[in-house]
Amino acid sequence: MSQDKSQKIVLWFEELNKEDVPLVGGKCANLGEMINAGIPVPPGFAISAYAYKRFIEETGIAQKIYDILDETITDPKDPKQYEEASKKIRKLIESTPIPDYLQKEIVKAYKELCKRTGVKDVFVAVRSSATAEDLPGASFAGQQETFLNVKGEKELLESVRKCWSSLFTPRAIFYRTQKGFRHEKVLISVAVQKMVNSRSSGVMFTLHPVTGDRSKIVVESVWGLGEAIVSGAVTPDHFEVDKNTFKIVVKNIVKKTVEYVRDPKTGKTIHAEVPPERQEAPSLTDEEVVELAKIAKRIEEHYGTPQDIEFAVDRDLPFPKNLFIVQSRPETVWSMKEAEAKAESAGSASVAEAKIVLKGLPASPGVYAGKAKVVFSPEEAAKEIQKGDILVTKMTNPDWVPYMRLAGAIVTDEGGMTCHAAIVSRELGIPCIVGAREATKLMKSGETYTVDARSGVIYEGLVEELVKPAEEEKAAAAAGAVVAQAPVVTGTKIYVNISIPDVAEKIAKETQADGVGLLRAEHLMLSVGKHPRLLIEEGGEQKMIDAFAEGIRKVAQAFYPKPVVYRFLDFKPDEFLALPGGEKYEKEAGHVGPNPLIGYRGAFRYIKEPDIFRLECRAIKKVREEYGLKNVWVMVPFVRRVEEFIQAKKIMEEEGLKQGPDFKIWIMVEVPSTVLLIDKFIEAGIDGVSFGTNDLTMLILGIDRDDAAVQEIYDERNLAVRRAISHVIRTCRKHGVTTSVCGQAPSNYPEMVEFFVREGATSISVNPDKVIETRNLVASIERKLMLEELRELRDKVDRLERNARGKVFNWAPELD
Amino acid sequence: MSEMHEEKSSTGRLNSTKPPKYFLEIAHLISNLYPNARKIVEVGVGRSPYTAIQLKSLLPGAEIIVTDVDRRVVRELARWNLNSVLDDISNPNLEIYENADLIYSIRPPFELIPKLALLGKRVGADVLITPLSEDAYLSALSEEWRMIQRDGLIAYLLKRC
Repeated sequence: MSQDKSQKIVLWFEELNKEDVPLVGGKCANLGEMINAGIPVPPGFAISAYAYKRFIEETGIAQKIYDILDETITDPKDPKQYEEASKKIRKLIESTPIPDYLQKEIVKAYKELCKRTGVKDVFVAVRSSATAEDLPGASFAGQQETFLNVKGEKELLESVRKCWSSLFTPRAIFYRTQKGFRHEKVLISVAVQKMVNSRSSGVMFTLHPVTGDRSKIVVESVWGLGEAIVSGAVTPDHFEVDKNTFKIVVKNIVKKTVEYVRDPKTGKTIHAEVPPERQEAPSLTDEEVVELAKIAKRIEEHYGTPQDIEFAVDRDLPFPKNLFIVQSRPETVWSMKEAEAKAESAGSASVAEAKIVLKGLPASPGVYAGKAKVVFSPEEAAKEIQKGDILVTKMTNPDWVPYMRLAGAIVTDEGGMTCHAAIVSRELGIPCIVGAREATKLMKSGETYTVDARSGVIYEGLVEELVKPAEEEKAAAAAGAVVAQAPVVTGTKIYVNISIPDVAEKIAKETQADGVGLLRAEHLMLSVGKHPRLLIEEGGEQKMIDAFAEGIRKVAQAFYPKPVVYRFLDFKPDEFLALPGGEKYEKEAGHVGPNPLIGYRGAFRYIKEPDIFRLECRAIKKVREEYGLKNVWVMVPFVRRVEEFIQAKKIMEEEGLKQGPDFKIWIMVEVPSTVLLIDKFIEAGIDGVSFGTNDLTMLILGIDRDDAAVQEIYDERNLAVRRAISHVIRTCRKHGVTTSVCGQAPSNYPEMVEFFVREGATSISVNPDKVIETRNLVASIERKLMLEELRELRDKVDRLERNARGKVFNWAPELD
Repeated sequence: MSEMHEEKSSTGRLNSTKPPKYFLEIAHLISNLYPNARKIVEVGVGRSPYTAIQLKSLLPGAEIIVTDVDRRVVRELARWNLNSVLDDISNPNLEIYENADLIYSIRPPFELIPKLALLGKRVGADVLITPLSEDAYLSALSEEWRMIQRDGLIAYLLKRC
């Protein structure tokens, strides 16, 4: 075939790669990319965007389409006009015959597909795959239409036209109009792919969905089509395969009484009973499990991130040709893009548009939508509450428990993280918001609300965008719960460093860290987006307090009741210049010196400009008192002198943050003076220290860490640095002061982890991606240390025994 | 820069009149490094679109796209005549970044830096970041990243393979 690829009507998937998006759209190009990477996807072909272009041009409907758009949409804000235009255009496309030569090419390809698969009139899935040349967000440009179980030439050609016309759904037209994309620039391709005749199907994860363990591949499967597993109707067989040796390490075969199958006559999905002889048989053979795991590993390597993969096993084909990958996506909780598409297509309100009724403290996570019942006593609850209602009341007590069990979600006016409603709803696994103050006033019995107990917000009506992904998450969690493994226990606590609150919940779940050893304030400030002095000048203090409190709350909530150590703002003065107001309040104020790393930063700022420091204190107070999250502690960075610590502590006290058993104050040990004066700092009342190994190394070795010329001698393992750390840990241990490290040294050098554990550090705080690895490493070091101590003890006993023996047998040495 | 005279409330909304020099310096650095760029994408633009706006005038031949994970930000930015797209860097829509000469991000938190590097590699684009010094440190930038210092501005550049 000498024909130019861009002029072809039909392109087989194996001819395609990711460069071909302009020809066949993202979906088809991706399928080609997968086939060429050795990933088995069901065979098929793309009907190119060029084919569509010729169809609309040669039949003369292109101009008509653009005319309809121009004539019908006169007011871009009127949704009715989009609907009207869509209706007219889709009718036009779907009623215009496809030119003969195009029909012939498509039918020829379909026949070839039948031949290749050995099935006469093979069932295919027909999907649209929009292309928008190089326009970003092209996936939105065309609504993704899918037709399943299409069979025979006539049905195929009809479905193709319907896919083409889906380029003009009201939403797609609206989107392009809003974005200023020219309609002529957006074309559409169609994917035609064999439907797998599923004997079995399932999902695989290349990262354990619950423990985050990356060393195994989890495979879950059922008989028949995958819908059963996704909807949770059937508990799947569960396998775990070692990613390196490909040995099956866990195999759990369950009884499967129902399956979804395709009716061979109608092509529709039906619900069937599994014959008794198959009910307790594994839905995958061992060799299929291993081969699937190998494919999963290949996909992960190809995309470079952990994947969540759907697969199917075809009953028409022999092993290993029977294994197909149906879909693969990065292993994340959910994608905003999908949520937006889902919400808009479902016609329910999106989060941005939904009306917030009120906010409270999220006490038990989850999202739920249902009817509210406002009740004030257990007696009233007995009469009113039905299964699935949202129970709204002032506060609960043990008499309420039977009705709490019935509720789909609980909202109370009063209470904090440890109140009755919070504790019981966590036990019951029911979403719950407490301390919502006016819930019993503002929420009305019989009305529908969406309770987002992850963020503490109650919305009016159904916000599907929130509810759907939450349900999926719950299903995934339930599936995973069966195989949940407790993390390795270590004596040294493993904390995590965090700078973006939005990912805290995910990190808490995935890493199971013992707390947050460093919650950084700088990115909170960057998202507020102004220099704090400018904010104060403009009267925006409360906004800063609220924004900080909200960020800190998200993290504290995600890790509750584990400690979260918030480090006060520590921008270097030049880093403030990226904020509006920075020039004036840093540069012009003379704060930016020749070396900002040792300039106007850290604790010194708090006592020079206490009004800014107080705003941070108020945010902390709000989180601890209003939200009841007493697991938030604080850390004062870049302390140079004991007086700075004493004064900062005094300001905190004035702001109502009183040091005590549940409010600890740490300092960062970064400046050598804190090492030399650690005893004085202990006397001044610090509860803990955390080593900032980067600044400490810089200042002990006298190396500017921003100066490339001296980087080669920068080494956090230098003996001088280790001696300093050792001195601080030993002194702190004597006085019951905790020690931690939040710099990169433990992540970069395993020997530094060993050093900290040997010296007796209380905790080690690392980046999220290092938590599991560090925990395992610490566990092995601790075991080694215990063995060493045992050995020493045994040696001691041996020595004593030898000495004793020596004495006894001294008179007859020949007996030795 | 006449588009930038829209003053909003003291926080939260788009920032105001006087763009900090810092962002303009980054735009100048990029336009010097990539005078012939056809497509440049800023990741996580947030409420400070100054660099992208400046780049549009410095490189009129280039397509400048900005992304953010917050749909409200994306919506607001569209009003600044910026090609703004909703995207989550943890699960990026590759179509947005394909054929880009450069992907850049201003003050990315350390958690996102490895994701930016991976994205650059996946689509074959250079990646430029201007992290806070602690983020550069916490993300343990590999030697592939080249440090660029211009008039007090510190940036790191990862060239495509």
